[in-house]
Amino acid sequence: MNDDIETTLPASSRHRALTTLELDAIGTELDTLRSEVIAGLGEREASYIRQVQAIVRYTEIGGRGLLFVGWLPPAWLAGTSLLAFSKIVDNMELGHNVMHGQYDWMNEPTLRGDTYEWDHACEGDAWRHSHNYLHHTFTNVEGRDRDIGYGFLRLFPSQRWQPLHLIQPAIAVGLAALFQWGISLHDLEIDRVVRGKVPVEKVARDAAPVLRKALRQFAKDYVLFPLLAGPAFLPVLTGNLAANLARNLWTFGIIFCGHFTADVETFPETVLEDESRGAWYVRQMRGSSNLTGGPLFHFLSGNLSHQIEHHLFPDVPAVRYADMAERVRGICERYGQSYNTGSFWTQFTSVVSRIVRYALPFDAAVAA
Amino acid sequence: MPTRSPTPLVDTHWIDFALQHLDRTFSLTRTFTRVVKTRHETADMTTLVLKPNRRFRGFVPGQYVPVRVAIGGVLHERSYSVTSEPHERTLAITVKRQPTGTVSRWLADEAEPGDVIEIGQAAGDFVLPASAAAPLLFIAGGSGITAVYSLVRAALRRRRDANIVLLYYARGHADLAFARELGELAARHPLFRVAFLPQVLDDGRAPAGRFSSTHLATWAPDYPERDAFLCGPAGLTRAVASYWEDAGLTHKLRREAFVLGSDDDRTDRVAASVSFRRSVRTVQSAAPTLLAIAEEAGLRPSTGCRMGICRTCTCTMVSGTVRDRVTGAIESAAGSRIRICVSEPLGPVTLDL
Repeated sequence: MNDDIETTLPASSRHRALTTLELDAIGTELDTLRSEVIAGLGEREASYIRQVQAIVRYTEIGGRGLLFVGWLPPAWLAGTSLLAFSKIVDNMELGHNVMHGQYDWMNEPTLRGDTYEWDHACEGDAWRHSHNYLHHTFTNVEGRDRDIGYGFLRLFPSQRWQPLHLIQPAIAVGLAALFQWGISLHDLEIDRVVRGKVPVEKVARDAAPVLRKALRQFAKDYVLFPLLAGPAFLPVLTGNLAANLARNLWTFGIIFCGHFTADVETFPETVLEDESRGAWYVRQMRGSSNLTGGPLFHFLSGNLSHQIEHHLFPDVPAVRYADMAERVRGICERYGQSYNTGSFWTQFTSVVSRIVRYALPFDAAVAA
Repeated sequence: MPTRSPTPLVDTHWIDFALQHLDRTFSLTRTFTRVVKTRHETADMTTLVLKPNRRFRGFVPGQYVPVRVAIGGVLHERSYSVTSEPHERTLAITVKRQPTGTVSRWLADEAEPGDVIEIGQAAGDFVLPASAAAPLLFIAGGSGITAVYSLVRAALRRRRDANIVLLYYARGHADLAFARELGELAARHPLFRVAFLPQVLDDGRAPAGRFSSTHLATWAPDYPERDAFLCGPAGLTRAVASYWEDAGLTHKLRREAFVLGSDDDRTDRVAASVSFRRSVRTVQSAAPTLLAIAEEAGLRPSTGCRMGICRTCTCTMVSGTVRDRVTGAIESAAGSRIRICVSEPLGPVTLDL
């Protein structure tokens, strides 16, 4: 066997096969890009994330304040919009990114990835396990990455069909509307407990902090603030509901477009055996998809519109992904790998068509 | 493993954020200070007078405070001795500007009145003994004078007629900090004697030379009876400590090891294999500390003083054997909590990082 020309990552419809040497070269190029960006981090990124933190707080104060006079329809609308904006930025550009440790280099105790807590029903440590560890390490590996369909949606032909999948378009709408609660329960792996793959005791052990955080979040938005508002109880309650709904729909859309668009690939568990750094990088590229848009769109997506760059460099401040994207794209082109990107609507339509198509018992052969 | 206290009903970061709109030093949890003035003691030593917020719990003379400043977006921490007295309303620290020091250069060159600087609570056991009876001997070198100056003043405040000898080593006469203040104290307190011992020829006088038994014989022939305090650079502390050891007097010597043993550039160190469990990474490195190895590997653990004081970098050692570079203690118990900034691997080590 000749190692130099041995193909370790097979070709697929959109990507040519890569040899071990090519994978190593890709690994080196991306490592170099990463070190260059890390070395350049400084005052600019530090003051940026502080500004983001300030924006989240000012808009939350403004939004909740306006809802206190929410009997006036314009105040309700403005308050709800501001609060939704605040929650979206808190979740994406601030919370998600800080919790990846993207700003750990600042050594600032309030921005540390391993202790940060966000305005979200999902408890921080559960998120760090299910997202930072499982999803980012085993991205799109069947049976390992629990974000593939979140345990109950069938999005790829390789997933086994079950009758319940017939109603998955409706389930997906419900998940989108209640996304933060879905994420909150995700790490408890209730689907695997039901199927007897995880002992009940594990849920019992993990559930306490998760439920405490979820309860606290519920109490804050639906009890505490409405009560504080006194006569404005109802507008505050409905405003908080609407803001959470808007945030849930938006984050669902962005996240589903990151891994479930038409051209993303999933991988059998065997790819993990002796996977090189380069092969890991290529798996991240083939398993993720980007969204095109303007600066405000990228900001509101927490720069997860650069999902490919995020998966290559999850702990690099996301505000740098746009700059890195050109180099990543160049690498993809030179090595014959497709760089999966498109507008939000193109990508989202392909996600919806996946949800609908794989609700039916097509197998891999039919789907292809 | 990070520990968190149960989240209070209202996030304290939120309250701090609001408070800092009123005054940038206000905080419920962190000790911020405002720079009141800065004063040059020598060409490379600067005193910063700070007004702390109400989180500061005070200090005992001889202690240091951790000082945190954000430079280039990164929060750096170093510890400096307090050189003011406990009854004053402000807090003074005296900083020696290191030619390549990130924090000391910033404090010496950039800090100005009005700036807000974060500090931590005072710490350190380089303090006066509870009993005030015994005569005292202080040996200070270079920036080590900062802690010693505090102790001398506190001892004289406690007893006007305290019997004190201070041997103060510095490069040249111009490098003696607090020389005027110490001279005035000696004039007011007849039993306090201070010997300025510059190492280079200047003012037309011969250099005093390094610490020796002659200095002791001249200034403190009764040194075995004295409670001795030592703070200075590695060379001086080694010389004095071994002298006291040879005399069987180690129990009478207190020392502040502000500077780590300078064997960072030792070349005989063998590369150790260090695994970072949570980061799923294993590296081979001959770097002197686990912190340096972790940073080489691209990890960014929490750090504070980087000299074994503040415990910010404490983490769990899953397995392995390490040596504490400050105390020399060997630790090999699985699951022990170690400070990685001063831990040197003595073989393969696995950390929960």
